[in-house]
Amino acid sequence: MTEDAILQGCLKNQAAAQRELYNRYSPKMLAVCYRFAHNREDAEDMLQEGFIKVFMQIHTFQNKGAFEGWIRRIIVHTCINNLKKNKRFNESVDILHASSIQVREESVPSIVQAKQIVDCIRILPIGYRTVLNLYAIEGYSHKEIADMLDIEESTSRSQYTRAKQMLEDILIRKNILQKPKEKIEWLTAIR
Amino acid sequence: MTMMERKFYNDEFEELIRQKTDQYKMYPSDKVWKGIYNSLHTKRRRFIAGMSVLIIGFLMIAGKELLMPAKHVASAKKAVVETLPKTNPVDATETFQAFKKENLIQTSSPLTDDRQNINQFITVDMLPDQQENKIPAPSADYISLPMDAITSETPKHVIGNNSLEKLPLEINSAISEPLNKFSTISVTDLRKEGTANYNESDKKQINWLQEYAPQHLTPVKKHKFNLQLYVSPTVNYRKLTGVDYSHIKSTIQNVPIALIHFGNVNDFVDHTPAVGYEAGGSMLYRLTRNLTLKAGLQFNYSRYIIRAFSSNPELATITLNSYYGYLADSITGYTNVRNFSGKSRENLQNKYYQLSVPIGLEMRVIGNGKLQLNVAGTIQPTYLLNRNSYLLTTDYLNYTKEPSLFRKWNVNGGLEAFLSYQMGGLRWQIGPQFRYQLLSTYTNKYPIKENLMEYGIKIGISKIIR
Repeated sequence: MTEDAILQGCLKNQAAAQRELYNRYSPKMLAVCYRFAHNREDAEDMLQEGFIKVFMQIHTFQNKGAFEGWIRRIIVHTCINNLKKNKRFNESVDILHASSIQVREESVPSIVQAKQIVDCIRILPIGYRTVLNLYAIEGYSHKEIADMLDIEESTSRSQYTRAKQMLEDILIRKNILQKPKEKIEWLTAIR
Repeated sequence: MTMMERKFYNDEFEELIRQKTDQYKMYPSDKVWKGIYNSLHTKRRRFIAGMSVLIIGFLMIAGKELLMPAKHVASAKKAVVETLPKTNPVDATETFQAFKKENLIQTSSPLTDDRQNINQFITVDMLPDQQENKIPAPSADYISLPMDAITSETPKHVIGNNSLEKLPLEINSAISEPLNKFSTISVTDLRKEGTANYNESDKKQINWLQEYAPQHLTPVKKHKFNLQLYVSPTVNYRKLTGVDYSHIKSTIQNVPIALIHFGNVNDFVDHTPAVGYEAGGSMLYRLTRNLTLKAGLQFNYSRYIIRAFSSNPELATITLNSYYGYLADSITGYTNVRNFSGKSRENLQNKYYQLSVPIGLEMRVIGNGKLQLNVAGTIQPTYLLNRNSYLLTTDYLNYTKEPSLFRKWNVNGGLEAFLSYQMGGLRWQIGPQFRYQLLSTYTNKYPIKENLMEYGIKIGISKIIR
């Protein structure tokens, strides 16, 4: 099914087209939700809510940008609203817990790294994690983040700096990232 | 570390994080899609709820009519018996006389076709309302007396030996219909006794009765409609037919695109029958002495069990039938159910909820009015209420759910033979039945065809609708 056919089907509320769209994007979007959520169940709830919004608002998609980007924005906003609703920004996790992450060995190295990095991001306190997710991964500006989270722009910047530092420490401790001097070489090698 | 190095590192770090997190994928559980689907397609749920209410309502009304005697008839009869002694004979007589004079009542309905009986008695029964209101009878041309209204326990007031003056008759003007049922009027031999009390018009009336009443008797109604309720425990199974690719084993295969298992699909599945049920109601219309037309509403719950294995989420591909030999398409999803080997054994239940309208014929083979042997056949246009059953991927490797490949409307055929026995006002029946789904459960796009089968013992009860 082409993306256009899926879109047309979804506009007609056809279950087959909706299922196809869901099958195509849900794995990626669940990973997005998982980075924001407290646990997998919460992530699935966010995904469900997000996809319902996608299908309800699909008529507002104007075919100007990428369809995936449009879905992703809706999913991210759903995650943020969900976090706000549950007031989980105040939760914090001790950085020392980082060493207790169990990373399952998988056969494909890039997947291993991806999973390890996601797991490390999830160790961050929820406030740091949210800003890091929005700024570094989703590409929102600090101004946009401030509006989304009802915080000051400067707060977003400072939260991000601390989050990045903390993540870096975790990655080094887990031997996923090397120390600064060796970092450039490592990054070049990994590519 | 220089400033430039730092900036480069920062950008690279963010880029790395973005790249790696984008690579990461997770597969949601089935309940997420179920939740989405249920939220988006509420119409279907409303339809199911509406139909359920309709069916339950229908069954309740039918059950009440079938199993309980008509309350109003029984209570009315009882009330007549209780209130009769309170009758004021004088008032009634006056009223009756007044009606007689104005020719408003004609005693045109005799009790039997025996002419002599017509002249024997006038008996009048009254309803409770008639007692209290003391209002004259409706100005009908005549009062008809259906045969079934005459019962042994119905009390009668006999008029004779100049007793017409004491006739207790008070009739409510607003009750023409009940009056027809419960009032019984007979005629005494007025010419022999008390003729002085009647005028010429009365005599004409009596003569008219003698001449014409038998010809005007309301014929005994043949009740052709029956209401039937039935339930049947069933054993459900299915027949699978698919494309057998064994004949193209050594040639180039392009359909299905995925891995092909050669041979009959039934050799690759492990499925066992399971118990379901059928319930419904029908209206029966007697066409001839031996032939009855039937139509109704029926609910079927069918299921069977598939033996499969659980696994980690993996791709499930269904290759669809091509149109005009080209334009092949496929549906890909994720599933954690394997057909052959996996983490652990898992028994899947494929359940089908069906609503159908059976239309068919019943034929009496042998038997009398009491005990009969009948056979029946029906065609059942059927609507499938749920579409969340598992189906086999076209490579036979996995089971997955794909509601879009299920056929909403189908046709079933039903055959049955049963013994029926008349007991009181009810006819009970029991016998074996077989139901076969004529079209595949799936749409034509899906290469494998599934036809459901049900074997059951049907227990039914029916009653004449009067």
